[in-house]
Amino acid sequence: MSNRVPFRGGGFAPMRVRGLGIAVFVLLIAFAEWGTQSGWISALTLPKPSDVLATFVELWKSGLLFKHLLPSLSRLALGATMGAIVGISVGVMIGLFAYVRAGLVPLVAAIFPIPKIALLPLFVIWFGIDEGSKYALIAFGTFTPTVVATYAAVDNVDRTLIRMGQSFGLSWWSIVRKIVLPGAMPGILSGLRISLTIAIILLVAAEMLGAEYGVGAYILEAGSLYDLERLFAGVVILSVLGVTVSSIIGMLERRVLRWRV
Amino acid sequence: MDLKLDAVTHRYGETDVLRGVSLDIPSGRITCIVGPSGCGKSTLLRLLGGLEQPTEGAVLQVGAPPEGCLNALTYIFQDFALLPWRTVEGNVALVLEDHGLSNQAAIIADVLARTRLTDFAGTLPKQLSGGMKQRVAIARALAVNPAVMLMDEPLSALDSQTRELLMDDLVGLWTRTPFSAVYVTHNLAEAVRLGHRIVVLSRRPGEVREIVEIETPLEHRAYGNAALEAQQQHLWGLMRNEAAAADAELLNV
Repeated sequence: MSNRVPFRGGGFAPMRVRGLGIAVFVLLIAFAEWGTQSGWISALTLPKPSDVLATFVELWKSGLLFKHLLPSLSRLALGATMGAIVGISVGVMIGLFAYVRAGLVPLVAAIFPIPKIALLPLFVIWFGIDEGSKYALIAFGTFTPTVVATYAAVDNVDRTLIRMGQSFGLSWWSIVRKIVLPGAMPGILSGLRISLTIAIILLVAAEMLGAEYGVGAYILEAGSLYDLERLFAGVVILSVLGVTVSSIIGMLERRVLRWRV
Repeated sequence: MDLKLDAVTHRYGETDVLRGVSLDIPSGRITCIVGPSGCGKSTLLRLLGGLEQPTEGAVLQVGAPPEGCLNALTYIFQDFALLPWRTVEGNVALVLEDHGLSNQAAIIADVLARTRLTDFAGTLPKQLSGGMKQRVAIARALAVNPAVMLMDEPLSALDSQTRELLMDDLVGLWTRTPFSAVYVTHNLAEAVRLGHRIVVLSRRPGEVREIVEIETPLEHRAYGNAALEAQQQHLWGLMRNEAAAADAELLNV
């Protein structure tokens, strides 16, 4: 008697499935549209996706979309860039110098769990009610996760490569620039994925507390009027922003980390 | 330039790793260091290159490094230590960039030609086999024109066929331009194939057991040579009991 040996090696291997993510979106929206059209979902529970789309088109045509989006984007870009640059620098310093690590790691651990939104009044006093406080809030929120991701990434750089650099008499600066930073890049980029998402959350929070224009202000205004179509249009903008940031980082990773096995 | 170990003793905490090792590393020859695992061979190599400081005794350079030498004591590592984000060419360039040389491109072209890697200048390490990676590391070491090459089990991560090929490469490189090298290995076949002088260390704490000189020129030490076979038998006789004892010792640490 002979039986075929059963195959047991399947699964546990990541593979790229194209289009499924979009299909999930389309299905969900189609379901909501069907539910609201047929009256199964009441208009108070959920706006019709088609109405949200109409609101969005209207927003675009009236030029208000960019009036709201542009200040938001510039706040996000400037605040997140500042936070990321300072965060990466501090993270690298913590990774490289024992004294900086001993001094700053507890401080970072102490400020990490503070909801940065709670500090907004303080930032308003320090940096003014205008753009300054918004930049500061976004930068501060981006800073802490970036620091933690960066120093963990520096810790994970292959020590034998650093030893190699030393054994060839490379200067300290060369070792940092050519071995430590590229070696830490995968960890830094995956840290940025998280910290930039946090930056978007904080952007909205900052704009809700005092801004004439901005996606956050738009959502707040719509929310206080219970204008669900506009609220959802704003939320969709944020989602698109998140997906965009994530795909930009994905592109960056594919470009910069082409060397990875 | 010669290297000299003067009564070197090294400890990690309470453990003696090396005890009273005195050794001359003459230039222009390959000195192999063999010994059972954990006898401090690799530690000895790190001491020789200044990556660690001996607890007692001294490591001395005798004479000046040769003209045009950029890094007198240059390592070749077991795990190659190539930067995965740099191409073959870039990995060689890494060790030259700090010196601001005008003929950097010429040096790179020369060492890649000597290691037969010219066609692979633009490839990334992930695309290369283990043997090729080690050839890149050898090219990188040759680029700085070292006084002494410090090789830490350079062939141990490779399969036995690649190892044979790479030994031929090393013999070829040496016969064309003799270099000085300290070659640490646990593989006696490699030692009798490449070593002009073989230093046998005892088990931990490592002491010099015996120094064997092999007179046969490197290019005549073909695979399966009877005289070498006898030398290898002799070395194995020296090491056998030490290795067995070291093995038992590791179990009750």
